[in-house]
Amino acid sequence: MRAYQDMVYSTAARLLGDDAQAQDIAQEVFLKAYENFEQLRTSATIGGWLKTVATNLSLNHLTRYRRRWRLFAELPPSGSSGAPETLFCVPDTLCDGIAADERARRLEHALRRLPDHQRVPLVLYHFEELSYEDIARRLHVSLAKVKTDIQRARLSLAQLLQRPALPAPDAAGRPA
Amino acid sequence: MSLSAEEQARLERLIDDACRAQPPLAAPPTLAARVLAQLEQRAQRALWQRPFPEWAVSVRVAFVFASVALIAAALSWSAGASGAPWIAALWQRPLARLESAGSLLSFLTAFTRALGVTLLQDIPAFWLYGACAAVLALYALLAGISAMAYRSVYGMRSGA
Repeated sequence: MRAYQDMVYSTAARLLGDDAQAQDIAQEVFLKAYENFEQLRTSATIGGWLKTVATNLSLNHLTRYRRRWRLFAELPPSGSSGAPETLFCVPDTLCDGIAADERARRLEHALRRLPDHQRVPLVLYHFEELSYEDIARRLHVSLAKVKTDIQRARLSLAQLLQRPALPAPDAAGRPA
Repeated sequence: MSLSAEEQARLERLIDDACRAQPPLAAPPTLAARVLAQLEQRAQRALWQRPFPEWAVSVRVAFVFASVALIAAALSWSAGASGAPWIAALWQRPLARLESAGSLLSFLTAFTRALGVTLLQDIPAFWLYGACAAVLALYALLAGISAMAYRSVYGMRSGA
């Protein structure tokens, strides 16, 4: 479990954008792995199995749980409209001259600032290496929407990463 | 805002490089302990606290037969106590089918059908539709009130 816990947790945390929910999902993944222990103990693809289950559970959580509570809690966070508001020139490099640790922290923080409909397809494409078609199928949206959302997410991410400094996230992992 | 194809390709490459270079996030140190505690808790659960699919097959079969027998006994007692013919008809016909076919599935199918027929024939349609409409209206009303209350409280907290 210790060998895979970071990978499982990362997958869930990046898709959900919430540490507490990612912990719940990671816990559920390992409980499922325990239930299938006999099949998995000799499997060479246990890492892939865990990652797939983490992705599926996270997407289920996003589509079922959050949709169910949207009526109650949908108060959009400020600055989450999705479309970049200012003109932006694509740079040649991102976070140039910044230490690797700081760059990693900035990227994670910037990911969390993206709205769900942009962050999820971006993570599926760039971290989980799914194709546009697979993402559209998994999220039950059109191919054009997936491409548009990912393109906007890249722009927002690049803009956030080019800013001089980002405030540190709070204890729950949410951006300030 | 529109980017040229070249800019889009460059942006994709930049983001892809950044994501590929990203190390995995460190899982909280409490995660393993949480999982182990959950496993221990699950192992200590009594039979009736576990999900039905986790029960042994023999126990599941015995439970289904016991439930059916209990329902039949309750219906039999109700028919005898109230003298209502429709209650007796509700289970006697399916039970006869069970004896002839010897199949639990056919009994359950016939029972469900008899229950449906009884509901549709003996209860006035107005009451059935009225009850459904009342339930839906109450559900919508409660959901609306809860949503308004939640948003008010949440908005007050956010504004504070």
